[in-house]
This record gives sequence, structure tokens and C-alpha cells, in this order.
Amino acid sequence: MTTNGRPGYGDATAHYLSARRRDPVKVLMEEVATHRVLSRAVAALDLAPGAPLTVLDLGAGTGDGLALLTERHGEPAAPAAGHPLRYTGLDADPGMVATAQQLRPEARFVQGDMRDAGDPERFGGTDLYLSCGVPWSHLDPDAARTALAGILAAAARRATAARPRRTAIVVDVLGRYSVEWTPNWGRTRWNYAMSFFEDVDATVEEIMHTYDRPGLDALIHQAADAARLPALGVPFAVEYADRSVLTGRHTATRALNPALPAPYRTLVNRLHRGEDIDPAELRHTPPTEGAPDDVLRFHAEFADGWNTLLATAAAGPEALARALLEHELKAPRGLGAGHSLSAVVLVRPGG
Amino acid sequence: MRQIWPAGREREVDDAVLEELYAYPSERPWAAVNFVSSADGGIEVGGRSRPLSDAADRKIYRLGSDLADVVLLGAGTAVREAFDGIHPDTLAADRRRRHGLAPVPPIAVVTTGRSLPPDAPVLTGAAVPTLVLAPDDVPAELKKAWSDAGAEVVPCGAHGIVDMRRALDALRERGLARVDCEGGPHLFGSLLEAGLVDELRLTIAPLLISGRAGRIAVGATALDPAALTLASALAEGDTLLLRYLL
Repeated sequence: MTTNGRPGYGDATAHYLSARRRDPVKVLMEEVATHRVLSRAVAALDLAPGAPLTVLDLGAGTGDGLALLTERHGEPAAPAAGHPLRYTGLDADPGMVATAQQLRPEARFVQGDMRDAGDPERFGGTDLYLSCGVPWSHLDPDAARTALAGILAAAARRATAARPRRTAIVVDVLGRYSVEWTPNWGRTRWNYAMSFFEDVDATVEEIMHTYDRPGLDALIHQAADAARLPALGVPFAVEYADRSVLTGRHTATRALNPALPAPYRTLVNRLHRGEDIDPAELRHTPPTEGAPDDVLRFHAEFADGWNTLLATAAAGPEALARALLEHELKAPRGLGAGHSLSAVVLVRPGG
Repeated sequence: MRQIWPAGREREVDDAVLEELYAYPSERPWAAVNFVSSADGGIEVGGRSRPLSDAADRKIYRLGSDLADVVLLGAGTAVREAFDGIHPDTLAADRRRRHGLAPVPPIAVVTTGRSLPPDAPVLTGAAVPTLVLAPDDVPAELKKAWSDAGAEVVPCGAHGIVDMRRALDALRERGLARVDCEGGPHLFGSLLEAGLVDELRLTIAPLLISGRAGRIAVGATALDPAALTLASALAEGDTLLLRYLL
């Protein structure tokens, strides 16, 4: 994802390898939320126990997707449990690919464009096209549509083969209506200052694209039309989930929304470490304009639940942190109202 | 689906009855051959069998592999259909468990050599190692390339020709006695010539296609006509699903 002449994600390898990056919010909430999305996607494939699971991780970075598939995250089983995993990580950045290969020699990492993902010669046999860490938001919508249409065309070939197979695609994007960037709600394309990087001095700049539910739904349906799914009689279904409503990374810095009442992520992490913080510091006042009614209503309801927990918490700071993160995990409405919005597209054989 | 033959056995068949009808005999080796054909005997539209198949055919087609020890394929068919092995879903896994079969049936692909590139999905994408049934005199570097792609090479034949009797014996030695042959027509022809086919599972698609499409069996010379016994006939809509014993 390096852009010529400017610092890119490749320079941020130190960030991805930093121990501090896996803070309590990430471990107790973000990874669990992703775990649930991936588990649903793997279950939807209806693979026999013991059958191999072939995964292409788009924008794989240093291979977080592999860890997300193979670790339990406090849940009963890892998303890929019971299936020998055939994992390939795809990333545009050669430095990232080299780092990933070094870190995880047992997996396969290749350099390439997400628009190659549907190429049967390179990535045939893929059951699950994974993305985490919002790689789809790095593409402009035309490129995203092209990349997704290529994947859906590959899925349609599987669905109409002599021996038909299912395919799942996880499309992970930045949510348009996150409180992390309220001033940007009016736009879906803006410069995303990666000021949250740990252990890197440079601030990385990158144009990013955000999506609300109707926006991502339109993108998926346009890609499906381009791949001729309806014409081929190949059915598909989409499920959406939000992640990190009040504890997204940018709530720690408030760099993109200085008016955010408090650095929620930092405070929740500190609570979890047992620091004695006045719960009133975490009170949230939800935005009341700038988004569609369903999104504003969601933010109001989410803030109500959050503030109620603050008012009733008695069992100590760590218990409060866990309760707040549990509240986050109960919120996956899929409106594009959190840091990220995940769509799981399941392509099935027809008839 | 309705059973319409044998006479006196007419009935609606559910999935459990289908499974009984299409189970392989367990007391002896059995080779069943599966094809779908148009009413005028053509087996492909635009090079693929899929346009001839319907939901009823797909149901019995998958029963063939769900209940078999091994799926036997000609290399040309495997490559043309970009076939990447059997990947059972939960229904198939359940069936295989109930019938005491291994979780995944391997593919056995028959080739004289040239028709099977080492990067073919049938070798690289299979869930369990694919068996390559090839003549002994295939170049060593080709055998090595197949092995490197994850396959097990089983020599069975000489002078560029696969001896199908030796091939099926080699499968049986590996405990793979229930054979589901899914084509193509040259492989079916070779099996017929060697007298190795026990059952033909033929779906007649209610379509006429004319043209130059191939037929289900092809060989260098015609056989003395081999007589068939119709073991069962099912109908679903206008499609006929027939089981013949040789």
C-alpha cells in the first residue's frame, strides 16, 4: 500500500510488530468481534469436519488474518478449528510480504493487487476470501468494484461447476458514521492520518474511503451484477456487522474529531489495567445530526447503554472495562456506525 | 423423485431411499460409471456437462462420490472441468461416516502422461493426495513433478498404455474397492473393453442437442454389444435417472 514519495504502510512494520498494539480493547473486543464474523463465514461454507479450508487474505499485512483464524480469542474454538488451513496472504507491499513470510514461515505470502484475487490460475480453489484491517477502504470504489467482481466471478464458477461449492467473502471497510471522524461524515473519501501508529515517528497519509450500509450494499450488488451472478442464477446473501463504536483506535487520539468528549479507548484500556478513573469521565453524548435517522438512533441507544453501565458500575475498574467492551460486542448492527463495517458475502450453488 | 421401475416397486423416493438405491455393494469390489446424456446421446454443451445436468441429476451424481472409496477420472475430463478433488460438505461427511467410509475419497486420475500437467487443480487442489494411474514408462521427471504437486504415482501399464485391470487392482490393494467413475468417454470405453464395469448410472436429460457432441463411451473398436439389466429407473419431471447392471 506504499504510495510513491510518501511514507507508506511498509514503513509502519514496526507498528504492526509492536506489543503495545494489542491493547486490552483489541484483545477483548476487536479480535472477538472479528472472530465471530469469521466463525460465521467459515460455518456458512458448510465444510465437512476435517475438510481443508483454503483462504486468501486480502491486504494481509503481516498475517494478522492467520492469527485471527487460528486463535480462540476466549471463544470455545478458533474460526478455522477442525479444518487444515491452506492460507495465502496477498499484499501490495513487497516489504510487508517479506516481513510476514519471516514472521510466519509456515504460511504463504505473495505480493499482488487485490484485483488479481479472482484469478483462477493464481488463487483457484479459494473457499474464503478474508479481509481484516479495512483493506477495501484503500481502494477507490471503481477499483473495489472491479476486485470484488473478479472474486464473485470466481465464486460463480465454483457455484456452477460440475461439483458445486460455496464461497464466502469478507469485505472489511471503514464505517462512514464512526464518532472517531464525525467531521468527515459528509464525505466518503478523505485523507486518513495514521497518527495512531505505535513506535513510528512518521505520520502516514493515505486517501481512504468510508462506507455506510447502503453504500457497501450498493457496491456489492454492482459487483455481483458485473460478475453476472443474477444472470447465471447463482444466489448470494450478505450479512453486515459493525465493530468498535466508541473504542475505535482514533478515539484514543481524537485527531480526526477533537470534539469527541473523551479518549474512550485510552480510558477503557486504563480501566482494564485497574486504574481508578471516575466513570463520569467516560460519559458519551451522542451526535444528533449529520447522519441518517437510523444511524443517529443507533448512536443514541448505544450511548444510553454505555452511560447506564457507567452509572451502575460498582465492581471496580476492570469489571467496568469488561462490561463496556461487552456492550460493544452486543452492538454489531452493521450500519457503518463503528470504526469498521464487515460484510460477509456467501455465494451458493443455485437449485 | 419417483421410482418407476422395477414394476411393482413404484413409489416416491426420499433422500434415505435414494441413498439405499445408490449405495455400493460392500461385499465385493464395484465399479459404477456415472454419465448424463441428452436424449439424443450427446454428453456436452460447449465442452461442459453442466448444462445437461439438473437438480435431480446433481443429487444422484453426488451420491456416487459420497458413497465411494475413490473417484476415477480421465485426465482430460479432470483438466477440462478444472476439477480440484472432492471437498465433502457436512451432508457428505455424515453419509460417509454412516457408511463407514474414509472422510474424503481420493481421486484416481488416469493418464498416459501428456494430458496431465503437474499444476492441474486435480493434483494441487485436492484435499487428500490424488492417485495418478500412469504407464510405467512415463518420463521420470514428469513422475517427479506429479509427486511434487502432492500426488501419489501408481505405475500400471507399459508402452504408453494404462492397463485398467492393473489400475483397479492397485486401487483395491489400497482398500479402494468401491469405484465411482465420472468419465470421460475414453476411460469408460477402456473399462468396458477390459470388462471391468459393474454398473452404469445414466441420467437422460430431456434435451436434444444434435451437433458433434461426444457420446458416453468411445473406443478404438466396437464391442460385441454388452447386454444391460435395468436395475432401477427414477423420474423427476422430464428427467430419467437409470441404473443398469452389466
